[in-house]
Order: sequence, then C-alpha cells, then structure tokens
Amino acid sequence: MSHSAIVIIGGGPAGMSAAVAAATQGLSCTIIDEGFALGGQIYRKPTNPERAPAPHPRGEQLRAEVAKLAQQIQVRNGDNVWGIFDELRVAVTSPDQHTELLQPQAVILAPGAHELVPPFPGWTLPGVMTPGAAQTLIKTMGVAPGKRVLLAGTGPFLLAVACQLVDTGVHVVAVLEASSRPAWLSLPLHGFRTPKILAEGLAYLNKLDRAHVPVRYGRIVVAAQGETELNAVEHAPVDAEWFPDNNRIETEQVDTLLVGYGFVPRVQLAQMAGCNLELRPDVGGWIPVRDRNLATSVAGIFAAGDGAGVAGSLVAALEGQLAGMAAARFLGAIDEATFTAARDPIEQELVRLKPLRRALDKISALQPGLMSLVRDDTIVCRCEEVTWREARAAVDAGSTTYRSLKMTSRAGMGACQGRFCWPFLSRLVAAEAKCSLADIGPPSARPPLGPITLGALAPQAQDK
Amino acid sequence: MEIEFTLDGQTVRCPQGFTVTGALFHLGHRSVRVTARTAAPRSLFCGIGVCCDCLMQIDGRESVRACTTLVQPGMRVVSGQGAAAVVANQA
Repeated sequence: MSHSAIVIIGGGPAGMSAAVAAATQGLSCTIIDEGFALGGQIYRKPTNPERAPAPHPRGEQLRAEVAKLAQQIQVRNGDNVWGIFDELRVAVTSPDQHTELLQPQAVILAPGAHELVPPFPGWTLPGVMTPGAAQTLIKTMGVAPGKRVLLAGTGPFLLAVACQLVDTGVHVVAVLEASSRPAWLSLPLHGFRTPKILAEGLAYLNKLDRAHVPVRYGRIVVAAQGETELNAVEHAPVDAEWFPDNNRIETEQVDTLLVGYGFVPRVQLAQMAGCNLELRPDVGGWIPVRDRNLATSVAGIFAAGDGAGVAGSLVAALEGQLAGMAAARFLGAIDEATFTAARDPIEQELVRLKPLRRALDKISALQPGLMSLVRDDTIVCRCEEVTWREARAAVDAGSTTYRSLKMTSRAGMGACQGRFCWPFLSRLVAAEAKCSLADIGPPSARPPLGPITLGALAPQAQDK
Repeated sequence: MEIEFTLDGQTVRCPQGFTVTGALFHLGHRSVRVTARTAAPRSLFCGIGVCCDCLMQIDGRESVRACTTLVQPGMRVVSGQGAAAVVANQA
C-alpha cells in the first residue's frame, strides 16, 4: 500500500474538505473513516438507498469532490484508528483484523463528536437512545426507532431529528427543549448575518407545527419508566438553572425517548498524541489547543471540525479546508503567500458564522439542574453498571480523578472508555468533592481506542 | 432483495444494506443483550459505535458493535448472554 503524505482521521465534512484542499495542492492523502462510506454522521450515505431518504446534497457534493481527486486521495472506510504514537505513527486495523502502522508526514484529526446524555433514572432502558442513533437508523435504512417518540434535550439538532421522524411517518409526541422560549426568541438578533441558517431553523419549527408536534420550552425529562423496555417518560418544567419542579411532573406514554444535550468532541487521538488540551465547556468539553492555522501543540498534527470543539457541519467544512491548506504549508507544498491568500476568505466566513454559533452555545449551555436528576440507585456508568451511590462513596473516600475513581468504583472502566459517563460524572464528582472540572481532567486515552482483537496485534508483534 | 441470517438460532430476514441493530428494530426487537452485572436488557443507544451498548456475538466473535456491522447473508447473530432476551421478546 502506498504511503500518503497526510493521514486524515475522520471522513465527515472536516475530513473530506481537508483532503480536497491538500490533494488540490498535489499532496497524497489517506482518509481513514469508521463508517461504511464517507460523510461522517451528518452526511451519512444510505446503506439501503431504496428505503432511506435522499442523502444531503452537501454531503453528495463533498463525496464527489473527493472522488474526482482519486489519484491523490485514498479512502479507507470501515477501518479503525486505535492509536497514534511517536513520530506520527498511526495504528489502523481493518475489519478483517489486518493491522498497519502508517507513517505520514502530517496528520489531520477530524474525528467528530458524540452525543451528551445526562444520567437519570431509567436511562439505560431499551427505547432510550440518542437523537443521533434514531437519525442514523432513518438516514441509512429508513428504519423508524419506535412508534411513539418523545425528544428531549437542547439545541436545534432535536428539531432536525424530529422533522426526519415526521417524514418517516413516526408519531412524534413532543419535543422538550430545556431552555426557555425567550432565550430562543433572541436568536435572530445574533443570526442576522446568517439568514439562511435561521431560515432552516424556522422551517423545522413550521414543519413540526404543521404536523401538530408541540415544541415545549423549559422542560426536561426527569425519569424513564419500564420493566424490560421503555413505556413512559416523566418530564417537568425547569427554572433558569434547569432545576425541575417535581410537583408539576407530567407522564407521557411512549416507546421511544431520544435524549441529547449537545455533543462531546472526540479528543482521544489528540490526547494520545500528546497534544495540549484545554477545557472549553461552551464547545463540548476538552478540546485540543490550536493556533490560528489549526495546528495543535504537536508539530505536524492539525485538528478540524467538531472533534476540536463542537461548531457544526458548516464550520467543520471550513476548518477542514484550512487544516488541509495548513498541512500543505507545513509540508512545503505551498508558500506563505498562497497559504495566506487561501486562509483569508475561510476566516472571513468563519467570522460570519460565529455570532449565531456563540448564541446557540449560550442558549444550550448545560445548567446545574441537569445534574440533580441522579438518584442513589441511578446508573452513572452504563458500561460497568456503577450506581451513583457506589461512585459517590468512592469520591467521598478520596477518589476525585478519573484514574482513581476507575480503580475504586469501576466507573469509567468499561468498553466506552469513559466517553459516555465522564462528561456528566466529572461534573457530579466536581460538585461532590468541591473541586473544578479542570482539576478532575479528561478520561485517560490509551491504546486501543476501539475494540480490536488480539489477533489484530499479533502479526505486528511478530515483526518486531 | 432480502437477506437471510440467524438471530439466536432462528432464521430471520431483513432488507439489504441493514446494520444488525437496524435489522433488529425492523423485526420489532429492541433488546440486543443483557448486562453482566444485573442482567438488565440493553439496546441501541448512541448508534455510531462509541457507547458499546449494542455488543453482540456475531459469526462467533464476541463483543461486536451491532450498530456498525452490516448484516451479511448467513450471518450468525447471537444476543449478549444467549438467546433468552431476544427470543422472549419475539414471543
């Protein structure tokens, strides 16, 4: 297999745009992506085109641009990058468990984000899932996640998924948005420079209105009920800090609850590579520190898109372009003047998108009331089934770091490697131990970052 | 075009290009496994291969993420901790 100058990890809008930008400058690139096709989560390509709705045109366009540069861009779909080591060595395993160590001259990290779900009673029941999980079922196969669906959380993504459910013929009972209606009504003030995006949001609301789907502001889900599957959801109005009024709980009979409070950047590769991280709750948590050209603190490693701070697909595509050009500059394929000329319009567009994005981040910023839903017997680590009672006992006994809490309570020790528990568990720990999130730190990132077999490693060991 | 595969030993069908979890939902199943500690049922959660809630035994391999695995003809899919959970759902 030929060795590319640049390895790009993640084939969403950031990764595809990075590859196109760098390949246009004559550089060889390899995009490695876990998915069945390029697109990432947002531009997922149907795996059953007869049943799935038509894919997003922006995704189709980016896939076509990558395909046009097939001489320069190698695409590896279904492959799993599970480690990055000294001198930019990237460990990748294919589905047949064949493992390789790639050694590019530059790496662009574009791994995207996963969803943010707080622990609450009943959240492990079958039927409770992320809006993204439901969207994936619809986008790839046209499969409905359930019959009667309630969406809850915060942010415009809930509205987008609700509309897709309506189009699929699913009965959407309601959308519960945690933030207040006045907060959302202030959005046009910040988005006047991005009227198309505002119009998109308004179109979602109109569509839900026509389908008689109520959008109820200032309400959160406080518990899910069911024996072996979800059959009802309890929700309550909240105050400005999202503390629920438990005297005004309503119960809704549904078989599916889609709950999501935003996204968490996937920083594990940056972390493993030794990139400096910073805590930025406004864009999803820990992110790699980047300079103006999206270079991380490690020479030759660039980071773009939601995986470097959640900002959505438009920003991701722009950052991908910038990272691709910055990598080309780093490798000497373009001179400074060419780079600056390419950077200026990208930066202008990023500046134009910023006010709306900032306003959305502010409206959907997590409030402390969301951490009040956990009861003693609520599972806080889904993988290891650790309850808050158990985790809190460990915290009270002095375990206030990820590593220590893992050792003493098993929380964060499971297959997801702390990705799903830690964003909220770290907040619960911080409140309990009266320390800061920054003190607690992100989960440690160790190879392998995804599940691979020992057989996938054995041939590498024999080579040494 | 439908694909035939087995789910906990029973022959079932789904359309082409379906993930294992997609096929299970299509067939009306939710639970994909029961947990090790409390034997609680679990199902699709994140849908993008991150949370590892949908681990199943597929073609003899343990702990495969069902949400990122496409059904292949003749595939043997076994719910975590054996047949009990999914077959009970089917009844």
